[in-house]
Amino acid sequence: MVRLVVLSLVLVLSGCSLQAIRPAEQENLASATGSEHPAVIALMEDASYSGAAGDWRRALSFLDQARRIEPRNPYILLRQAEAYALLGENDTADSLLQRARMFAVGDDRAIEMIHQLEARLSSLQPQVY
Amino acid sequence: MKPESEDNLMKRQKTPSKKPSPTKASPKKPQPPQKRRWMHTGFGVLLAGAVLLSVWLVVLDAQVREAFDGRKWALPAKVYARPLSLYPGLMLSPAQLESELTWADYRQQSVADRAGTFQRNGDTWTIQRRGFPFWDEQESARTIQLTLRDGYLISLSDQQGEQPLIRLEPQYIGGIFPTHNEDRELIRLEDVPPVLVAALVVTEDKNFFSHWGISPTGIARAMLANIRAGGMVQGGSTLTQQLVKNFFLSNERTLTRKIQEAFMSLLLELHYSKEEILEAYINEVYLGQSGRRAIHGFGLGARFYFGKPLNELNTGEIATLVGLVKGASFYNPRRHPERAQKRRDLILNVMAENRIITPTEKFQTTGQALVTAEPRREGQREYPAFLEVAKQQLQQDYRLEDLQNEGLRVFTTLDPWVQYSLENASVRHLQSLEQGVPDLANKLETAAVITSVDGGEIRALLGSRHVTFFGFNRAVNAKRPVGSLIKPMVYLSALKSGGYHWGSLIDDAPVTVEGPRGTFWEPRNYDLESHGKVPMLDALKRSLNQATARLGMTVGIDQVVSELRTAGIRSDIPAYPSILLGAIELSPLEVAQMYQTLASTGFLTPLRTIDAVTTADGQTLSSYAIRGRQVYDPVLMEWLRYGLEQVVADGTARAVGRVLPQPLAGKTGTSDDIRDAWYAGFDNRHLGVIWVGRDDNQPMAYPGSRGALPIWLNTFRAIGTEPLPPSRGLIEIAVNEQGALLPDGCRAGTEYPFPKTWLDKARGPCDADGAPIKERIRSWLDWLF
Repeated sequence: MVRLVVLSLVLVLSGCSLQAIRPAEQENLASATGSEHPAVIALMEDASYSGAAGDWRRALSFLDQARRIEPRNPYILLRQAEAYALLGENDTADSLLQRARMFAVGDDRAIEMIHQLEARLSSLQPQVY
Repeated sequence: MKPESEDNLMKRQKTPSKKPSPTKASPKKPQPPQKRRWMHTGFGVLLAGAVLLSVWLVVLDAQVREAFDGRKWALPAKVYARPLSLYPGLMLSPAQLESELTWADYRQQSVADRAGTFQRNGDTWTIQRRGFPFWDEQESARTIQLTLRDGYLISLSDQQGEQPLIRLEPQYIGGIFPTHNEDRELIRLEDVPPVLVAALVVTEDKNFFSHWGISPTGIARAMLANIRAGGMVQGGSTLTQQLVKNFFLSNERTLTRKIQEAFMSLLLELHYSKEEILEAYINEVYLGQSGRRAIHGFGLGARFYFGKPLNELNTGEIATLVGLVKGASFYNPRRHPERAQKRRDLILNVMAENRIITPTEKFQTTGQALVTAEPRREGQREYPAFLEVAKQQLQQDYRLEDLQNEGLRVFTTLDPWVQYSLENASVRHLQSLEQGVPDLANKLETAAVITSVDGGEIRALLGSRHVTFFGFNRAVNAKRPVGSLIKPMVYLSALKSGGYHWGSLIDDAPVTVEGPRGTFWEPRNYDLESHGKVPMLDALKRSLNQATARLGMTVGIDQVVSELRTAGIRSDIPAYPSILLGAIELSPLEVAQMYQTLASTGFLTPLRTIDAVTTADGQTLSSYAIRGRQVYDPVLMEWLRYGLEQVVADGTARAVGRVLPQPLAGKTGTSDDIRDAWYAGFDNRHLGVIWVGRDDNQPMAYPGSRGALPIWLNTFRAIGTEPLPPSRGLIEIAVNEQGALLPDGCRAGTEYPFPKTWLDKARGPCDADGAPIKERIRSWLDWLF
């Protein structure tokens, strides 16, 4: 019984922390595509809807299709990193952030968002596990 | 109990047995004892027989139910290529689109009126795309319209209007089969055309819906026919019996097996509905062979013989498939078209007699030529080399039994167009190399890997010139000396050290290195000449061995080995001087991994073949992401890439530069005595590594630039290239003839690219003719005034 209460508390708290961290930057990330390519924009929109519905696997599928079209778009890589972090796959998230950082050179907005995401990830990770 | 002794046995045998004395029948005993004994014995035997039969039936019943209640078949994993994503701006030629549609079993028609067809009017294409369960969603059938112009897709729409992106269903590229190599496409009874079901029943077992599994009248009729013919000409088996025979039993023709078949049929009918039995039959029936793969079931049969899903077959094709049931080999429509046509017409006749088709339909279809799909077409062929790598990678996450039995669907990174272009270029080039050289006829072999530069996805893989042969996969298993393909790693070590730049002078003079047990290593150049002091860039462009060996010895062999490790080489690398010139044996896949790191601006990205895996009913089990970590500074990679671009522009790979838009990066490689020819090169989208050589490791007279490079060139010409982007982190600095950096504005010297960090380095004075511009302006002013 005691275990159940503790477990419920842990779950509620982790849910609260995820909720607390997400809204502001996610809005930014979701609206930033860094692309004028209609297919990329459409795929990133689809990814946003899936992400908003909590279906991160599906979101990743859309984002990966977008990556194939624009493999050096830092915004796509950023959002892939975010999705993997939310799924608890931190190594993959780090690797994608590294790539995003490389292709964001000269794009202040992308660099700013990378920093935001890095900060978020460091606080996200303990709750995901 | 003691065993009887041998003596006693002998005595007993010698003692005559007593004859029974004749007795009169007693009124109290109406039956003689002997008769009673016989009756008892007979009753006992019958009872024992009944018990045994019951036990046997219970065992058979258990067998039947166990096999039929659970998963009936071991379903091989189905492996698919990448789907072709269509979007405005996509580089797509009409040849590629037409090929990809044909490979996915689409048919060109004057009017594309149903799923699986397409039409072309000039630049405009209409495609009736089939529905397909992709790994992320089930997509329904759509009518697509698109326009291609100048090698690009410029507009895309469907019934709803303009669309940003539409996927075509991916091409099937093979399966991961169980040991018996049975393949089938499971199909539900409600998805089978009713005409096929009706034709099957009237042809094979007219009383199917009324008998209990066996048909005494059918057996009697068959026996009569066989007696008349004096041999086995007709079988009396019902569809249920045929299913039992195929599903549970062997092909032996014995009475015991026949009895077992009859009992099992009765049991099957007892437990299962006619519809369930029919559905199992439709999926079980053997319909032919494709190499190692046994074709089972009407679903796969339709795809294999006619290149269509079952629901797209016309009446004649249905009749042909039904005709195959009697003998898949004997009535094979490809090998025996006349025989198969006669059989088809017979079936059509039976169908008409039973009012399954109208007399008009029969009249229209009978006598028409049999048209089957090309058996070796892309949509049915396999890609053994790629599949082997995919299977190895899948086995990191899945058990082989699951891959062979669970009907998984595997979506891979293979690009059929890139694969086709590579195969085409390889086969043609080897033929041209062998032409006129009788000693070389069919002796040359090849292997190749093409990947996406940014994602490390393997887009094409060739393990042999025999592209569909399941044998030695040279792309993975042939470890051969890489020759000069190693040199970029020597130059990378030098650039990274901070002591060298592309204008640094290196002495291309004889090098002698003492080896173990008094041996000496004395490399020579390809032209057997030494060229004196040359800029480092020239040494790479011209692939000078002596200059490279000297440079490698100076920066350190251990350093070069360390760079090879960093770039992704996992094989043993002995730290001998000869490795500086490529005396290191690597497979084409390993070389691709190394060059991948250079091409992707310093990311060590594991090469991969798998995108996603789903269950048979479409539930996603895994999807694989781009992985890897940055192991080199991107600016250092751009700096090295400049050297490789000059190899293509003006060096040993200039044959590429003459034909394709630049910049492109590449390096040729040739091993000692010209036993191995290599070429590795990349554009902005793809990296390609090509090897050509002989399995017996004999010389072949073709260096990398003639043996391997043309395959790369022709492949990339077919798939289209995208020049490399300009560097972002390099600046130009002039260097004098001695390799010293000159001040800005100096007219003398040659400009080379440098990382910006080199701006802080000390520079020498301008030469007499090349004084810095400021000074020169001042002297002009002095002269004027």
